[in-house]
Amino acid sequence: MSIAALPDLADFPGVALAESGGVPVLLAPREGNLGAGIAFRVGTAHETLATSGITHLVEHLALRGQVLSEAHLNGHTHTDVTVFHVAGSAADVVSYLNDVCASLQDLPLDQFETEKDILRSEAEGRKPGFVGALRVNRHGARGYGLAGYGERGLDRITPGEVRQWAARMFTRENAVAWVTTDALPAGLDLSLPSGERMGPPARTDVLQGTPAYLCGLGDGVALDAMVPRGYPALLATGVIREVLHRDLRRDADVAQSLSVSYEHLDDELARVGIVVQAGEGRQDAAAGGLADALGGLRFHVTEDDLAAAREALLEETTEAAAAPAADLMPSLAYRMVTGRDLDGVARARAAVEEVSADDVLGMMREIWASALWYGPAPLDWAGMTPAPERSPALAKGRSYQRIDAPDLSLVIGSEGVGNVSRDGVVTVLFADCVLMEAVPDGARVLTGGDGFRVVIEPTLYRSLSVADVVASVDRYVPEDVVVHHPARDPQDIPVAVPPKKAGKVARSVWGTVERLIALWFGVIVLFAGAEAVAREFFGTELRLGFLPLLALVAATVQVLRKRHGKGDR
Amino acid sequence: MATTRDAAPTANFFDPLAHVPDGAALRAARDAGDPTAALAVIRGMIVPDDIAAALWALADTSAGVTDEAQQLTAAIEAADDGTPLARTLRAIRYVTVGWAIRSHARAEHVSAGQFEQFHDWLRRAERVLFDVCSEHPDYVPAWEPRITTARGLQLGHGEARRRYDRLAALDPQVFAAQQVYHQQILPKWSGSWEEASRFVEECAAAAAPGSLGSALVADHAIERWLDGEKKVPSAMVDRVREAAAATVLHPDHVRTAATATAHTNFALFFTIAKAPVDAWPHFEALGSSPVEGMWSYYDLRAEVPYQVQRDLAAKAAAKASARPGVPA
Repeated sequence: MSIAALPDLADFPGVALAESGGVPVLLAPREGNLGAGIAFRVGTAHETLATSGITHLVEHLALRGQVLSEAHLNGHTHTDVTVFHVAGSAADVVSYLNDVCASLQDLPLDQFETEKDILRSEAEGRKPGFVGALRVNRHGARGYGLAGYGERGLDRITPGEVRQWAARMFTRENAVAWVTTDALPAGLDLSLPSGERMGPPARTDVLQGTPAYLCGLGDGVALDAMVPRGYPALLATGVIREVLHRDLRRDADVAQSLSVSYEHLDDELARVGIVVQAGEGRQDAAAGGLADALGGLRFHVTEDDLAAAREALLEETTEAAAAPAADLMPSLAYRMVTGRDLDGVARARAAVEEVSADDVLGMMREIWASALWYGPAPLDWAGMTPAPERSPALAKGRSYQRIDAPDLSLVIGSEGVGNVSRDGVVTVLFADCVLMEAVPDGARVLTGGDGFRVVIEPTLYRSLSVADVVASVDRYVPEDVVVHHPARDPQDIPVAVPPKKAGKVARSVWGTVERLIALWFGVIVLFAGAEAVAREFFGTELRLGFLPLLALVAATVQVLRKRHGKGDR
Repeated sequence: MATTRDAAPTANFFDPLAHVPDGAALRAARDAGDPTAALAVIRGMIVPDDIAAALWALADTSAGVTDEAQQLTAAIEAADDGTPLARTLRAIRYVTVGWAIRSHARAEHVSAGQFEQFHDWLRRAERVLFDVCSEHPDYVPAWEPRITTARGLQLGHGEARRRYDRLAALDPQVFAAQQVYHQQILPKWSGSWEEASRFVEECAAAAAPGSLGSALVADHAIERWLDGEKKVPSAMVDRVREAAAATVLHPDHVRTAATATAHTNFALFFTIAKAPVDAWPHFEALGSSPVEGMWSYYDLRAEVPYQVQRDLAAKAAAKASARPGVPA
């Protein structure tokens, strides 16, 4: 049996299910050009930081042979699926799908570097932004958290890895195709290797308690929350939309724009996202307003707001019901390949109708309790805790003091490395290292699975040599997470300048001692000499008593004051 | 009769409960250290300005970190029965404790440690108020201290304004709220005179006849004077005279605890403006129960000048009425 359980398409009477080369194919006819595609259960969140970009690279390589085709075609790599699609004649569709499947089994690896360059230039100007920050802080440098990094693995992925990834992920068990005809087109051959059915991306969580917040977002406030997937959560997002439009836009001109999203993650959870773009100069009010609105929804979900949200959702399902079956196929294929429910309109409507205000209230509390906020300033006043800024683990080992900032040090041990400051420690354990970037001058950046990074710049630490780094760090980090970058411009290698203040104090303590010795010696010699001269040449005794000694003590105090007075201590 | 200079000022010269309904019962509960009894009295009040005055007066008793203050805090916490009123009192108590630690000095004279504790207490207060306002969004008395916590926690002018607007949407006539928001937007709290005076005019324009909205004009004028504008412009005196007539002296004015605050600030303004005849009706209205208002700005031992100026105003008014037709 190819896919875990062939889905029940009873709710979609216009859609038939066929099979080609072991891959399920959804069929529903439509007028005019044919549309077709194939979706795979693999996306960026299935990668690791050291292989990030590999799915996108496979997608590009698989389409490499299509560059001259005149059909309308494309491929997309998403977080949890990769989709290839085409529109054209029956011949176009067959040739495209056959070619993609064939190509996935024999990727044009001679184009490997060219495609990497294309991906790098596509990535330019694409920034992970605040969503990336939310993902990294919730999930770390794994799974969904990789969205915060960009395709960092491109600089190290090998052709062999790409071939293996394609063979493991782009299999018939992980694929669903569709064609907008009533029968399989002649010549269609979706032969793909057999493999293991993939699940949803692993859901990692590095937050140590929620609700939590990050600060420093300039122009508004955003958050994401994890809730049990399903219609109550979907309706809760609708209610939030109603309330925010009223509280932050209609009644108070706090938000310039706002969006509320719902994203199904896996069998258990969905992600609710809220983004409020503040009106000019109203960033603080946007954060406060959103906190008050969501805080209030923990206690009150009005029937009116629920009715409005329900109506909007039902309208969506009605629109979907009115669309020809063929138009639903990309979304059906997506739902099938990700193992989601295939509720038709009638079942969806019934489920939406069934949700009560209490169900939605329960979701509001889940949203509140699991939220990670990102606003301009701390939100501790609303009962949230700051997202972790330090790693809980502590590497033990040899400590190297930083030359230009003696408060800071680097610890290198047999289990990991750490940056130590007065505020605490950031550690990356070798066993948890998901990426190490290396340059020939000995600098290293290690990223841990929790997203924390330790930077090693050998020139900045006292008695740390490149050989030390090679012997004590490189040796323990698995080569398959290491990215070797080319040599840096010598100007980019930092030079440690010892802080002036520390140097001056060190010099002046010695200088003071020297001066005091000179002072006492000089004065004693002078007085002894003066006494001798007085006795020898004038025959008188100099009766100065303790006076010279007092003068010496006073002079000593003066010297100490002058050299170590205010400021230095 | 002893002159004002002879009268030894007592700690209770200004009694914040004097003009609160059932003030005597509240005073008794306060003196007995019984917040539960005090809350029972406040529960009978409906005017937000009365409730605010009562809550702040109770919470502001022996603030700081003394044993006595800690006992009061504990008693107020113990009296928290989960009602929005009791929770609000608890939060306001946290605010007054925090503010006592911070002291009323300008920020540059407050140590980092003081600020840390101050913010800690305000956060505690704010968390309580945040939950009360979440659960009871229409409960005006909990919104009022949130304007003050926003200021102390430096949540920004936009946030303070949003809170004031939420409150004003529920009840546009809460004078205590207008006063604290006005403080927020003054230059000393990194606002501006323009913004503050715009707000004052906004409150005046929106005020119903006889309500206190226009009385903020006096607060604003006193702040200007305090900032160094020693000679009060005559247009300003006219404006405040007009405000007094439209508010506390208006026949439709309904007395609340805030009436006394407005009177004492009017009296202070006319004192500063050297218009004792205008000050007198306000002193007179307060009778033998003065309230402090902004008099502590005038002098740290405000009771002394209050009595001196009150006597001067009484004399000037008597003189003016003895010679009808001669302007004072």
